[in-house]
Amino acid sequence: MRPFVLLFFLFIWINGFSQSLIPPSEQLADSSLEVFIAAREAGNKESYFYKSNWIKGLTIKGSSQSISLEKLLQQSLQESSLEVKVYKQAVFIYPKKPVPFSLEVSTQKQIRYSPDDQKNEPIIVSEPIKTTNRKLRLTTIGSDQGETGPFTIEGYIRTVEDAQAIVGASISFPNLKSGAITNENGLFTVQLPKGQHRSIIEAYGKDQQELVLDIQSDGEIEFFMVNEIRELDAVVIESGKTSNVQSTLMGVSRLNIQSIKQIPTILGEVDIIKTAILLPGVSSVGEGSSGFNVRGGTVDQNLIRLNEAPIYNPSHMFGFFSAFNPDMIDRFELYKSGIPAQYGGRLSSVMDIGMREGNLRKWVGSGGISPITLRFTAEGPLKKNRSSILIGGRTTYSDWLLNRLENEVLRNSEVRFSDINANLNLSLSKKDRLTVSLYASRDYFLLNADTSFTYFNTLGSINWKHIFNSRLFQSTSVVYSGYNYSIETRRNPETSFELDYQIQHYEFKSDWSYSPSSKHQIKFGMGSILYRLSPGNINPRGPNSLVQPLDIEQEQGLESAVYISEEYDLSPRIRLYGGLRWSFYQMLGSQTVYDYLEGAPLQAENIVDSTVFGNGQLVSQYAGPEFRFSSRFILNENASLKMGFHRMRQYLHVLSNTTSFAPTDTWKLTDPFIRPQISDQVSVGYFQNFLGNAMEGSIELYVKRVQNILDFKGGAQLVLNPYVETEILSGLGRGYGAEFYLRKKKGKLNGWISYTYSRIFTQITGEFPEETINRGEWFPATVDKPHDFSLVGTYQFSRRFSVSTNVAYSTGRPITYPVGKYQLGSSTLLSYSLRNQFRIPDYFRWDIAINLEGNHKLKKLVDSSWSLSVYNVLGRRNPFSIFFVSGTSGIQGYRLSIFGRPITTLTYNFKIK
Amino acid sequence: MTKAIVYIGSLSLIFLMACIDPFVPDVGEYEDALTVTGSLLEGKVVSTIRLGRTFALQEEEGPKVGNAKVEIVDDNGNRYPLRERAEGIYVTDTTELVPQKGSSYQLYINTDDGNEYESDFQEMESSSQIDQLYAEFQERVRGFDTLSGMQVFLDATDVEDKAKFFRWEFEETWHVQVPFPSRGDWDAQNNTFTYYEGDSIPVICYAQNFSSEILLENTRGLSQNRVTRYPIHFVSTETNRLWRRYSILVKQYSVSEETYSFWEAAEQINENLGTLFDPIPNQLLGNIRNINDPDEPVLGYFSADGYDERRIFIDNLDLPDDIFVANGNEFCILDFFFTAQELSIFVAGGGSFVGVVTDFFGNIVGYTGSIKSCADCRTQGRLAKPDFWR
Repeated sequence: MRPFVLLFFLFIWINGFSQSLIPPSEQLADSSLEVFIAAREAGNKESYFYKSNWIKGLTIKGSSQSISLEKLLQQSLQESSLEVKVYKQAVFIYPKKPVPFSLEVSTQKQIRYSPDDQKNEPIIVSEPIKTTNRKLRLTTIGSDQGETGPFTIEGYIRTVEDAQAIVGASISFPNLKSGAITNENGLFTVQLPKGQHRSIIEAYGKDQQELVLDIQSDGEIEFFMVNEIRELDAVVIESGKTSNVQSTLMGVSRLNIQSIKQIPTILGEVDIIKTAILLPGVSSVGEGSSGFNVRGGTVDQNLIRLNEAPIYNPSHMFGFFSAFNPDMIDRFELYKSGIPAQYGGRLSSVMDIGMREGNLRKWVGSGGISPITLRFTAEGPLKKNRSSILIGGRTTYSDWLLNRLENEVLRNSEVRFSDINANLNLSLSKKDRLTVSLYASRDYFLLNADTSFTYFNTLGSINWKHIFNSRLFQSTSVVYSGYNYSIETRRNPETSFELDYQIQHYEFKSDWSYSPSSKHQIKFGMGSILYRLSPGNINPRGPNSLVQPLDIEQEQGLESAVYISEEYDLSPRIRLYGGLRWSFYQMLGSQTVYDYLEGAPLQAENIVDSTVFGNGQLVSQYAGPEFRFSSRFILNENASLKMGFHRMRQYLHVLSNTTSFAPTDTWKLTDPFIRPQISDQVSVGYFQNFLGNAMEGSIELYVKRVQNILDFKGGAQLVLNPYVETEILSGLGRGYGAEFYLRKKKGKLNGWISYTYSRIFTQITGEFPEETINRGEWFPATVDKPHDFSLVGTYQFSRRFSVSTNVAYSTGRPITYPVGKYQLGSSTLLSYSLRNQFRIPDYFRWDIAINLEGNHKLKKLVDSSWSLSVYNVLGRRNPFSIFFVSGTSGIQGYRLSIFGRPITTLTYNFKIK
Repeated sequence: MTKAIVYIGSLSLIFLMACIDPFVPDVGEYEDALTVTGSLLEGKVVSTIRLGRTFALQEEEGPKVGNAKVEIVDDNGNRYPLRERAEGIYVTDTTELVPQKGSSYQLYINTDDGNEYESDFQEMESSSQIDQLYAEFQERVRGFDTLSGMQVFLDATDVEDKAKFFRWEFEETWHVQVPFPSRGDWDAQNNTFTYYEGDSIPVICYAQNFSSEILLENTRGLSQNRVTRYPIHFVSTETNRLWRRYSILVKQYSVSEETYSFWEAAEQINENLGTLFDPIPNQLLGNIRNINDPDEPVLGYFSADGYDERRIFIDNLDLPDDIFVANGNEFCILDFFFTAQELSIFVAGGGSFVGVVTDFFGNIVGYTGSIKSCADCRTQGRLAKPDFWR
């Protein structure tokens, strides 16, 4: 029996070739199909692809005349649920129902081009050739023109269903120890010597393809990838299987949306940020807190980009849900270390989220209902196979959850959020591609019909990619991102107010990539961001309000960067990457800068003078180099060692003296008082694949150091403070860690285990007691959670039924406890320990989800699926926080758990074809 | 304003099925430090400074620091010693020291273990007056039902019409009565019996309570320097405060901006709701230090504040007619005992003797008793009528 590789071959069928006829004598009428196949294979006539349990009990229905093999098999299988396809010497037998949806395009021809358009005959598939023990398809590129090469081969890797480019797919040539990864356009370029080369094409969530490329001259080729047959169990799929060993990148995680959708959810909302937290080195301060922490960094040290546009508040409902509609997302990449030079501006990580492209072949609608939201997406071609549009939205559909509560305060409250995405992809020409992406989100909270809180994200980006030739490629973007919130209260007519905050981000950037030869890849580019902030203004509401309007002065800053990097293959084993990014920042007027009394604490009372800068005038500036370096050394075919160093500079900071990032936190630009944060990180990693690449493992170690980390004075007032610099302290951070990661990607059981040991410390020393924390000694930062373990696993019982589970454990985060009490006035006050001297109890959670797919009938109008998830099966009351309240009976400590009981959710998803 | 935001954050948590359990963290030894509280008041008012030490979380009250030499130093270097009225409570002598607006004062402490402490110099604030203190009947939603009671409001204006920072404290006093007043106290140890007569019968007492929340408001950012309808305290009908007559004394401190921010920080620490959106708590830095060892932690604050006070009374008759007010005696039962023996066991177990039961001819047929809280009002307050009570 052959391995079941049916779909793998489907797309290469070409209709209409002749077959020889089989005389009745060879038809073996009434014998079992197994015997027939054995006889044919023994006679070296054809190769058969099937599963033995499918054909059990089937017999050959012979014919009195010579008929074709296909016809013979077809009439034999007529009453079974099987179908047959014969292609040259390969025979495929497969069940009619359920038919994997990709079969409908199974007759799509593979298209490739030879360099010379006149000779554009569709060729390619020749006899399967025998390598070791498998027969591989042979594809010839170009025609022999007497040159010896090496030749440049360009190619696209696309999905078979809708011809979308696959980013980060890989093609590798094991015998040459070389390979390439597709860029943002799905395009790869390789230099190959003349001759036949075994090639492996891989992409996450897709079946691997293996074939032999016969290179005769320069040329182009296009590959279409089929979803993995057990599409559902594709849990985490980083890029190609060997690329984690081969690439110089480390500390990078890629996940695609299919894998994220498998993971058990809270209240049915698929959440990419909550999924990222399960990866090594990524954590959060608590359930329901916004954002994530990478290697001990703060939440604002992550650059989260949705199709190039940064998002300033990545969550809905104060952090319970992420701001991204899972139906609109294709994948994300998270860079934790060895961050390439084209990225900058944040210290800890870059999370690049790619929106899905619309279906290039036909119009499709899909949607879903969870207890919280209703989602709908429509997509389709604007011009078939060339341009597409995708529009999707998500909204909370009612306040039913609140309305059911008996508490009147809550019944009079409203919680709503919604978001909308649009992604337009235009293929202007074969070499030009324009993408227009839009995103908007809105959160609305009304408390007891009185105080309302609203926040918005608005993002837009226009990206133009142009391929000059196989060596030179550029991508230019214009980006806007805005975040604003407003608070309104009407409780007391005399104190009614409206408070507004806004940040605007205008960005232009251009990235270029040039590969002079297969050994070199040079990337360079520049970018500039103009920030405009309204740090807050408050205005009276209503005629009776006595609130005095206050408008904190606007801030303006320009952050620019140029960079160049080169990736170079020193030898087949050693690859080096070096990059230099030069970033410079200017704070621009108009701005009033206060002068404080020297030798006195920075306090509003100590202001001696002020300087007013006019509009556009330079207030202060900072600049500096950011070095990036990484290297890879291949130890053997399955293992490599990597090393990297990077420096990052950050000019925009969140002012937050709370444990978690809150939507009311404000962003602040670097100014004459607040210096840019700078971090340096050195990391070393060992990567190994096992069991024929079915499993991959890695160990990464890192050490990092941060300068000018922000902290705040006790009881700091950070909103509506014209002298906010007087509340800000700065200090040093240092951290180290080891991350262990083991993942199984193939088989019925797949998933990953990750364990991280890491520490992060802060030191805040100032001239005066109020500018010093913990007597100037190093103390654990709030995100310091030394042990962090997660397990994500899925077991595929059948094609339609799977069960997944998560287990998460981490050390409790540090906390400052009251250690005593004292009398102050007529109140009893708590006396607190040094900052972060204690820890909350450890965190442990177990989740289960059951996923049931509807059948995949080809002609069915609606495809549906159900998902039942139980979050926190054990109902463990994991402390989110420990707090103390002074009441009439003294001071009592409490433990607050957000999801302190099992939460069961049923979600329904549908797709209209 | 910040409070509203915090509330929004915490509300959304509650909405999502959060649960809150009591929790006692193991924090080991507490830090033992000197604590100082009190302020010097403007004008001819007795000011009080209290000295104590920090105490463990599970304790009700901390140790007092007596026998200390406490002085107020003015900006001319004049020193005014304070008198220790009770252990750890030091008061000024108004015949010697009448603090004036515009002068600066410092607190000096010399404890009997030889340590010397001093505060920063504080400039005396001017006083602002309480315009009005009044109560209104309110019904408010609490959880699944409504809660009714009297809301006490305060209006204040600054005479000089400058931005003002206010802090309030209050003392409440109310009439309590027991249904089965005890007629005598049996000292079981000595087997002596004291009959109560006339005023000494513990039937009516005056219960007292002090504000525990930090009450603050400022007129910064308002176009007029007045505070209107500041909600000082809500007196609920669920307690027995409004059963007969209730009185509240509000003390208004006009404080400096610096003092105000100290109290604001204290309030933030004390009312931390514990969500991740609350500020990370920190040790509150006061303005008092050890002269010879600046690293020694000293908790507390000394300020020089303007002062005014106002008292109002609220009667049960001020409430709407149909409002039921608990008196706390709803579950009181009079127990009957046939023999003195039975009664003595009851009294020894914490009960109170109420009276004797006689037949028509005056023969004792039994005794009555009730639990202490139903028989002796001194379990809730003091028997002596306060001077201000009318």
